[in-house]
Amino acid sequence: MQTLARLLTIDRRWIFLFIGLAVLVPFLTGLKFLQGTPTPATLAVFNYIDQLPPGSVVAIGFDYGPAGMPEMHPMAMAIIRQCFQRHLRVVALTIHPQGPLMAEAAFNRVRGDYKAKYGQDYVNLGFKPGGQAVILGIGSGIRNVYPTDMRGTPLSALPVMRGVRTYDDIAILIDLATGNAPGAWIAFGHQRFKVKMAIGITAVMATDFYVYYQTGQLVGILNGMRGAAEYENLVKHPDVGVLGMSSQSVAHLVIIVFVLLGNIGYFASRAHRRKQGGMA
Amino acid sequence: MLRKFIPLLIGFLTGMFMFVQFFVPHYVGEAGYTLVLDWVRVVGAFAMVLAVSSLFQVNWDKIRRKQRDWGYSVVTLISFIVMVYVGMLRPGEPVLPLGWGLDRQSESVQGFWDHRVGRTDSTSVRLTGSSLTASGAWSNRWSGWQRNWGNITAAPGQRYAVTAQARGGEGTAKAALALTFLNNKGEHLPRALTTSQPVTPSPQTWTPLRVEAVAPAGAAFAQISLQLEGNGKIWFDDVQAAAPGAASLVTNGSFTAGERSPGLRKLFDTGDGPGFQWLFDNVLVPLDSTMFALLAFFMASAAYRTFRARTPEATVLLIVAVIVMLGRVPVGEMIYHRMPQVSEWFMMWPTVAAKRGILFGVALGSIATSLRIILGIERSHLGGK
Repeated sequence: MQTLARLLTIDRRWIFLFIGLAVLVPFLTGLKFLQGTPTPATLAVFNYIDQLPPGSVVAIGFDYGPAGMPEMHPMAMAIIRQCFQRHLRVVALTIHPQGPLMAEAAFNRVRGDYKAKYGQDYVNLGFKPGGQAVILGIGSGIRNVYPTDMRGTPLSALPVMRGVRTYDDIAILIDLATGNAPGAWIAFGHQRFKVKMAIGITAVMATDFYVYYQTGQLVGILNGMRGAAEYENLVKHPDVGVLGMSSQSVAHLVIIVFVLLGNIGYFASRAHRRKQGGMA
Repeated sequence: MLRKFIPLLIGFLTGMFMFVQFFVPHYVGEAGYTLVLDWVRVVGAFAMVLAVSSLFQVNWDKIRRKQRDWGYSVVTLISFIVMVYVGMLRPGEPVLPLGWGLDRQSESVQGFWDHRVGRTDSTSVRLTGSSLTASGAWSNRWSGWQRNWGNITAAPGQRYAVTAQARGGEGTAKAALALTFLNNKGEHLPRALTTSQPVTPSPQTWTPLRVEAVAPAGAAFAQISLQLEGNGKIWFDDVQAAAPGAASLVTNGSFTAGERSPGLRKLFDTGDGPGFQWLFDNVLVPLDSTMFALLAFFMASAAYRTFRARTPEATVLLIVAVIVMLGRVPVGEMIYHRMPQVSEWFMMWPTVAAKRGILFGVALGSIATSLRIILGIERSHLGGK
């Protein structure tokens, strides 16, 4: 019993080592677990975009920075891929200061596969400060908030922006975020201007936003790396999201094993204390 | 008294206005609402300036007083200055030819003002495409700083003929010459674009390109684009545009003169520049990702230490957490094929029920606080007690 109680005092450096190995080994060995059926929340986003007629406008809010890249970037690339496959116009915008460069990186990775052209098939409008005011301003007129794109080209000179004036001209707005931006987009973009919305968020944020999915305010949710991996499979282009799921699988198992060990140690120690108390 | 009364009055009037305009659709309300939104965006921009100056001030004070860990403040300020210098002044970025700029469609195109190759002298402009989908152009009206535009005024109904010389390099890139017209607001006129047949120019000799078009109704300016499509190098030189009875309308068509204020152009031009992009990709992205990745280690350690089945409630929490964790990964499905559905059920129903209760509480609290501020009952935001 005393030996088992020692499980309560595992040095945290062992935990760090095992977590490090759990993440690294699947990446280095290319270990892959078979992904099963996609969750309804992911499938709903895919199906909605898939039924849009060619030329429809899909706006993507790149409201994340480098910290959120492992989860958000695979989602962004998979969504852009689907849009280019379906000949939809993609408009990137953000209320996160690091978002424009995230959008550039995502487009740069995907556009070559579909010969997509800047200004014709996609555009990066960049960052505007003001958060909620920006979201509300787009409702009055996107050109009031973004007179030019990120490179300084007037929106009127970009074929991709032809006929895009307010939320009414956007088929769906997908906010990919690591902070509280989706809350603002839902409250002010969807509720006030009725733009169809979906979101892609980190797994730790998911509990905050299922509320809006259940009420139908969101078309769907891409939930963390699983959502990204599912979307990559749906667009038939497994990429870093699918690879990351293997690391996440092993890491989750390692954490569960350590939690179990901690509990075994806890009960063993309690039994040991009781035994000692009874003897006294 | 006025120090408190005026802010309270402003708060009351603004609050009431926003409240009324939301429910009463009227053009006066709409106009006021748009104006307030513009103000908020301006205040947002000022807040960023304030944040930057505050960052500078706090760290500078720490260094001056040699407070604990002041060395980190030195690193912060040096990084700050380097990013501002590289982002705004763009050291190393080449000077542009007068009246011309790069309209880049894809990142795989680079433009250079070449001082070694030319048709009649030793200057020309070059485009280098590094992929088959590369696409870009030198243009007299480009997306950058307007002070370096080579404006060509156009008259509706007038015929314009544009010629240019192109020479190829390694690769199979095609060259084309485009002429389009814009209205007096600088907007492209519909169906006003004429492009020459794309050709792969010879590397030995200069190939002439020519395009002709009549300016449509509403035309005020002409835009000439020297275009590259594909993988390879193309040089352009001796651009001329003529209307009947007029000399060449092109500014610096032989690319002999440089822009007048390259420093100012770099400062005011939009876009980040290659140096800034390099720092972002190679410094900020790895650092930020590393910081976030550390969470995985601490979360694992914290889960091991705190997730104990001490009470019945804690036991339920522990079991649900394990189910949700397994349901999120493919290995969970391998253990039990319905694990993702069970996990999803927990996310959709019990979690949402609890979350909705919290949200209602927060919303009611926000409404109550907002009303107290609008009615002047809550005054702590004005300072003092």
